[in-house]
Amino acid sequence: MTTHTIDRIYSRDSATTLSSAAAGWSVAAAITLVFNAILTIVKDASAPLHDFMQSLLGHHWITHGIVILIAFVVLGWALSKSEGVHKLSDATLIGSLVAAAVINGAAIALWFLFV
Amino acid sequence: MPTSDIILFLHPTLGVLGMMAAVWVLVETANASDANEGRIRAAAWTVAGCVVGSYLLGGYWYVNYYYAEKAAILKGPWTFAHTFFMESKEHVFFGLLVLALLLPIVARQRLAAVRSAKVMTMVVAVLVIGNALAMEGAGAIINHGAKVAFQHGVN
Repeated sequence: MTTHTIDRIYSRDSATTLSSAAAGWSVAAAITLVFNAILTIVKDASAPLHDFMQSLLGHHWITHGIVILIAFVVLGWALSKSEGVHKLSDATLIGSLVAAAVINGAAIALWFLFV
Repeated sequence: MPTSDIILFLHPTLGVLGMMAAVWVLVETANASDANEGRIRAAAWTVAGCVVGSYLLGGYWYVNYYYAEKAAILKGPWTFAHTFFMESKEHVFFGLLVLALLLPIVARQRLAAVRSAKVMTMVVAVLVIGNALAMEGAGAIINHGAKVAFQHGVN
């Protein structure tokens, strides 16, 4: 196998063909979705955290929304400039976003179903 | 009509319009060409605008008016309308918001030329549609939870 062939395979299977912005912001979205599920469950389980978030902006849900939006914007801005994200494959980027969306919905729904 | 009712009706209306725009993105992207890139981007921005508008209006109503409806639901027979559906809806919604904001970013690529960009845009559109449908369904159940509470004499 020549170096040229290896480069072609690596390029096809590993490096994303998405734009820097699309790759970075999609990873940011995936991380933010999972973070949202974790924050929801921890906030519901922890009265001190719930009360703290309530005290910050008058309602825990307002604080929660602002935290999620800030996390998405900061991560998206940083990751769209990161070279590491571009080494991920297209399948990894798309698959992680789908998995994160499923985790966000399922984890929150299961938590409130059984608590 | 009270302002609170207008806000309450605008919230799901914008959600449905955003969902329809996401279907528009999905169909246009499936047939992506140089000719329809502008329409795809316009539709993607429409999704983001509608979902952000639905978030702001729904959030305002939730924070300022929902407490009365919540109290009625919890006294009625459909307590799960709040304990499961509203609790889930108000938090899963943030995922929909993030996905709706991501859509114009992924739709900015050359969708006709780059297959992965096309797939990513279609996937995000489908996730927006699925989440929005769940929000609409949960909203209907929450509304019915309040209705059956009032039918059972809860004030």
